[in-house]
Amino acid sequence: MNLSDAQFMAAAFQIRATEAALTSQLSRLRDTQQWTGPDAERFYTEWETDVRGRMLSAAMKLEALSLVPGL
Amino acid sequence: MAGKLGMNVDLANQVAASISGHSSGLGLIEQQLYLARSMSLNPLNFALNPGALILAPASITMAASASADLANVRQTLDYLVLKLSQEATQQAQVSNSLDPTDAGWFAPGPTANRPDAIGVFENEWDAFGIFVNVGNYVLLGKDLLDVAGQAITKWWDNAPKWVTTGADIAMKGGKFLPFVGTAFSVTGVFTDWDDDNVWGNTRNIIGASLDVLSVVTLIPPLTPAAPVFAAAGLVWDVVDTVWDVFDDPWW
Repeated sequence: MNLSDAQFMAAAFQIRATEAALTSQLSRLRDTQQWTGPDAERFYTEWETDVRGRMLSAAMKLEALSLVPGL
Repeated sequence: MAGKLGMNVDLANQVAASISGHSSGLGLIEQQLYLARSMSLNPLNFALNPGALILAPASITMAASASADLANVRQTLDYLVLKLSQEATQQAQVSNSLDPTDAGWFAPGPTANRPDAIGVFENEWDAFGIFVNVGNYVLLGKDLLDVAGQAITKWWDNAPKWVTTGADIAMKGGKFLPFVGTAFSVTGVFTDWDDDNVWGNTRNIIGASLDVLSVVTLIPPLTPAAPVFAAAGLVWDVVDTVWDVFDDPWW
């Protein structure tokens, strides 16, 4: 399989799209106000730090990857 | 009481299913990153994929870090999905238990535990896959040699008479090759003698000495030393040849 810069960019785009889709889902859940309290806050905090932050970080790293051409 | 309290289980399940689906998509990207690193770090993988592009050195660590990010995201998503489902189920049970005939008061709380973070190098064992792969190739080579050895043995057992006879003669003659080679080596010291090239003469003398020693040590009880001198002589010959080329490219 020959990897290309375009594939990394596409993967980064996919991660960002996934992040947006999941954030939208979580917002939907949060907006209902059906689940509140410390457990819910912990859930949303873990989402922000352990999932959303890491996804955006991974996307940025993928966009910065470079390949050695012409070997 | 007729109303339900807490999270809507259907909504929670929808969110959980959506999260799980997206998680597998991230897994595919992780695989792509694995391939990129594997191709960049393992010359054997690269050789098996002609024309493959490899990551620039600085990008290899970045790819590993992105991969660790995704691995952490995926395991956290699994945990959050479980936690969400358990929470919704518990809330539904507690809500149902407002009906006095329901035993939902005993609904257990969420048991999902936040996973430990995966470090870059913890996730990066495959960065050292080159060693694993080399080990695999060695084992593969050993198996192939075993098979080849068996095939050769079988062929030899059924080989024509002239082949076995010829080989016997060659092996008997081969015993004398070290003596012949040593004679040439010693002769070479004198024929190649060059008063203007002391180091060249010295190298020839060292080579001839090693050859002589490899033959002399064939006499018991010095025999075990013979292969050592023979090997040293071979190595010295290679060094000597390289030195000659270095001294004189037209050699």
